[in-house]
Amino acid sequence: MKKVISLSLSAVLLVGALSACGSKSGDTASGGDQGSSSASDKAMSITWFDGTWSTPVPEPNGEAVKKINEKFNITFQPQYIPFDLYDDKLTVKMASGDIPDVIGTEGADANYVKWAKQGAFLPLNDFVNDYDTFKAIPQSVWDAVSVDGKIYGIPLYFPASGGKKPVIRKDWLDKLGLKVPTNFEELKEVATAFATKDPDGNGKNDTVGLGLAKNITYDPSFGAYWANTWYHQNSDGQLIPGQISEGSKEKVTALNELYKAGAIDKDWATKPYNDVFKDFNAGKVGIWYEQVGVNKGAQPSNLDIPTLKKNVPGAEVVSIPAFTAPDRTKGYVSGSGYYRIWMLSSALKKDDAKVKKILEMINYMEQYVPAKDQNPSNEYFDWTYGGEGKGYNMVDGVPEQSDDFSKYAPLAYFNEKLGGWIEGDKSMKDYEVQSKTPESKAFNKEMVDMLQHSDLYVSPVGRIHSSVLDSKMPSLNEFANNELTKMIVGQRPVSDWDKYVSEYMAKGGKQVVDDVNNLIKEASIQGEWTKAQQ
Amino acid sequence: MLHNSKRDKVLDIVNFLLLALIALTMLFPFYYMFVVSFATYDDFVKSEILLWPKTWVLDAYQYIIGSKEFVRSVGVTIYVTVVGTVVSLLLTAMMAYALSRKILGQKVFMFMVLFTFVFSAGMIPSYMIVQATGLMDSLWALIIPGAISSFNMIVMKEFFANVPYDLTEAAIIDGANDLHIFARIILPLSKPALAAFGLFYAVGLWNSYFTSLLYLNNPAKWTVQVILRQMIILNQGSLVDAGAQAGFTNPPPAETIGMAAVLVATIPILIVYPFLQKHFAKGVMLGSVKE
Repeated sequence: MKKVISLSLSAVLLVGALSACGSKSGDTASGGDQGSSSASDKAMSITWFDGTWSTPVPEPNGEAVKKINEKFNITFQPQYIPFDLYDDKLTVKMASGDIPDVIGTEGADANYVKWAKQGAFLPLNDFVNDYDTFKAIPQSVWDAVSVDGKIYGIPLYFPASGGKKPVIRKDWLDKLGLKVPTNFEELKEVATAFATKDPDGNGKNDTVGLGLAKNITYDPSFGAYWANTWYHQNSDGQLIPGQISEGSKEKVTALNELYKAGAIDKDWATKPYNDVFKDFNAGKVGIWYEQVGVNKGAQPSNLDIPTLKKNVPGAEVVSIPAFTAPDRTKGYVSGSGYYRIWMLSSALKKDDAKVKKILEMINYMEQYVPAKDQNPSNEYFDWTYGGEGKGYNMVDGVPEQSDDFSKYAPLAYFNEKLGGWIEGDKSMKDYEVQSKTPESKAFNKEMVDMLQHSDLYVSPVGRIHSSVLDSKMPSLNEFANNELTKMIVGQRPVSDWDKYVSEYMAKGGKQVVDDVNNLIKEASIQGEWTKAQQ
Repeated sequence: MLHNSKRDKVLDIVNFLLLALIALTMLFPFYYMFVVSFATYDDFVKSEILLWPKTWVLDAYQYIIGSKEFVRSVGVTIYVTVVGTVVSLLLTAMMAYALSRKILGQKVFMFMVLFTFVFSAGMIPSYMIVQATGLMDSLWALIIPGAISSFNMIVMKEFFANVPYDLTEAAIIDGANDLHIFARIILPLSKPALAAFGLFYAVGLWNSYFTSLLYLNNPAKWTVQVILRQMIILNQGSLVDAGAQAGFTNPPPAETIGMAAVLVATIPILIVYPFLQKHFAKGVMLGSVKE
């Protein structure tokens, strides 16, 4: 008996050793570099490493990979990691020199700049003008993905006016005879009335005027003037971060008064933001945040108007347009305008054919199909979505991704949505068509309408790369969050503002401001307003 | 022991209450997970803290069982845990036994083991070794690099050293060779130690998460902890899309799915504990007292 056990154990070990060898030989046989250097009549092999939000995570041998191989005549070897875990693996991979042909990231962060400066990526300046979709990429986005004037990555389109914007309970306003606030005075009036005049009519004092979560999330700024972006200048004419600006002082003063008036949740400083979503959906919060997007406005754990209406029949949610600032500007802060970048390994320096092949693929996959054309008769759409009945099904004239979308759809290996550089933020109107529930359609329509009537402030700081900023800003933000939180709850008087600003500058803020301003001057750029599209 | 005095009784009661309180604080999170996993989002939203859902629903569990990835990852994890525990125990015991005897180079080997105790190479060299040895993208990458824990090995070595040498001598006289002695005398006498370390290894393998992510390129081979984390942290948009794909018109909310997934992933390894409990308690004490 014992013998049998020990024999089977050694068998297990043997199998282990064998299978280890097996996978080794398999790896080298299909290794990326070998493929490219060997015979030219064989399909070029392209290794691709990227993060994803898709579930299930696309597998390296799915049906879609075959389609991509046929379409581009390559051997596609992709590898995907969920984005929330992606950075850990990417860092190890880069450090151990195991660099694939194409590397994806979510944005041009400190690591991106570091690796670009170390020469890990290939400069693409000589190539990008040959492709239609890349030509439509705005200069501010090219700046964001460039280091020392060299373009190291191809960005993917993302609406610049996306991101969380304030929303308000219209039914509460109507009940109390109030209007959507247009400045901080009116905001104070509305939020205080929401908290004290029992807008839900249950006879209990259990409502919150303005939703706020820990770390002052989401920053209730109602416009670029009050936001945490680089908008204001100090007395030396230098651009400064929003946390120490006059706008922030006005905002924090108002929030402190609201807190004293009981219009903000007493526990806000320790409350996670998803708890405020929960309270909003339960019908207890008057002003809160959500962004546009497919099915937004009707998602459990986010803004969920169907649940809200179940709890409060007659509830109505509308967006709040930006307030008019003392300098007559009126608009929200623009997002970066892109989300995700693809970089090419610098090992491809001498392999122009492969570089062109990769860019051709990206260009092809970044084309936008308007919502009205998203159906099986559009050949391009049908291919990217994996074919009707496989990657998607048509439901009420709208394509719905199937269970096996990431298995069949080539698009799942590149992006979750179709590109949109050429159409720009006009493509946001399609969210209404693509959303499923009527509540979500209505939410997207109203919000997109507001955004397209709104100007957007583009900060110059997103277009430069400052290592001083990268290293010092996290601790400065933490310091500012702590101090401003203290001011809002009254632990530190707002009259201490000038002292707080000099503390901020002494903690490294000065170096950051100096470095950022030098870089902006060198690049000869400044803050810009994108005018409303309508 | 009998407690007759009043003071002892009071002490007992206080003791009992205090321990019961501590036990409750440990149990409550499990209870909360259990309740929320069966609740509707409506119930969850309306109450500050949910103690008893108005309606019990199985949506979250149906969603999880319906998720091919989750079920597959549980299978992978069970495989890795079972095979890995057997391999780890065998290798650890063999090395520990060898080092418990006075053999040539014993000191050198012990030094090498102790060295890794103090200095660890870190993630990147490990990654490069796994890559160079061709273990990349194989489940053995989760098993072989960590097959022998130096701590477990040293404690086991102490345990073997305490087995009277007379037994070994008697076996030698009866004509047993080293393998016989190891397999027929030492291992049967070391069941408590094997059970305890088996549990250590099994729990470690069951929870293996970062190695799985790091060394396995194919999502089909990921362990349950990776998938679990994905299910809980995943951004809501994708989750809802995934839910719609699974055939739910209104997919269950992330909170209830998360709680249900944590329970489903914890229960299998939790079940192992009671069976090994008595050995486990003994095992922890191993090597702590020298006679």
